[in-house]
Amino acid sequence: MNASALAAWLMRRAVQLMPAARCDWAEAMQAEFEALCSEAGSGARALRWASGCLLTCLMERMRSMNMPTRSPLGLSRWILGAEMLIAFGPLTWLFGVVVMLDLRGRAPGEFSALLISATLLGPAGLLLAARIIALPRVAPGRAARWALPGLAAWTLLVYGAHLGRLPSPDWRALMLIAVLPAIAVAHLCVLGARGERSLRPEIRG
Amino acid sequence: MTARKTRSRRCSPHTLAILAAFAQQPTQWQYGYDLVQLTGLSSGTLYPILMRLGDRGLMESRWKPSPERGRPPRHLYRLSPRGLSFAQLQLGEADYRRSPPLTAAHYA
Repeated sequence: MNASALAAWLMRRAVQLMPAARCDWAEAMQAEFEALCSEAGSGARALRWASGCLLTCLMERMRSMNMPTRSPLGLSRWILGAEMLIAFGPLTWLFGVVVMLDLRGRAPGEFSALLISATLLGPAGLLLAARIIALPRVAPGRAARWALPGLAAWTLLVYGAHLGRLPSPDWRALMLIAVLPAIAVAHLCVLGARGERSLRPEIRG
Repeated sequence: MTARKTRSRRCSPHTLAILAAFAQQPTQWQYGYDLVQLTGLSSGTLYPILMRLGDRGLMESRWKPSPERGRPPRHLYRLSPRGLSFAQLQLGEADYRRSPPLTAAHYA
C-alpha cells in the first residue's frame, strides 16, 4: 500500500468516524483531500492531511459520546468495571480458594473464619461495583457504603498483622490483596456518596 | 455575558495564526487547504479550531461547487463581522493589518 492509498484509506475511516452532527465538516475535509490529491506528488501531504482529519474526527466522535474529561471520577462504566476487576479480582480469587479449602476441611480451623472475613471484601466489592455499573441511577444503600470501608479496614488490619509476622514481607501481595481493594472502596464510597442525582451523569455507558 | 467571556479569554497561538490568516484578507473566502498552507498548521489542528469558530458564530462558511466534473464541492470560510471584531481584539491593533480595519458594511 503506497502513501496515497493509505491516505485515502485513513480519510475514509475519518469520514466514517465523524458524528452525524458534524458530517458537513467531514465532507469539507474529504473535498479538500481530493483537491490535494489532484496535485502531482502529493502522497506525503495527503497522508499528513488524512492523519490530521482522522484525529479530528476521532476527537469529535469522543466528544459526541460525551466522554467525561474533567472529573477524575467521571468514568465510563467499562473503565470503572476494569478498575474494580483489577482491584477486587485477586481478593475474590483468594476468597474462593479459602472457602473451597474450608469446605473440603483443609483450612486450618482456627484461622478459617478469620481468612474468610478478611477476604470477603473481594466479592462484596465486586457485587457493589457491579450494582453501581449496572444500575447507575440507583445509589448504593448507606449500609453498603459503611460496610465496605469496614471490611477494607479489616482486610488491611489482618493482612498487615500477618505481614508483620513474616521474615520477608511480600509488598506486591499487600498491594494486590489489601491496598488496591482499599483504594477501590474509597472510589466506590465517593461515587456512592454523591447519591442518585449526581451519580447519574458520572457513569456513562 | 458570553460576549464578555469571549473577549476576556485569550486565544491559543494556533487560533491566533488562523485569525491572522483570515484577517489578512477578511472579505475573501478561503479553503481549508489554503489556510493550512498560510498558517503552517496541520489539518488536525486547523479543523477543530474552525469548528469552534463556526460554533461561536465567529466564522461563516459556504460550499462552492467544483469546476471539475466528478469533484465534490469545497467548503470556504471567512470571518463573520463578529469574528472580525474578535480577531481585531485578539491580534491587537498594532500587528493586525496595515490598512484601516474593515467594518460589517464590507460584508453586506
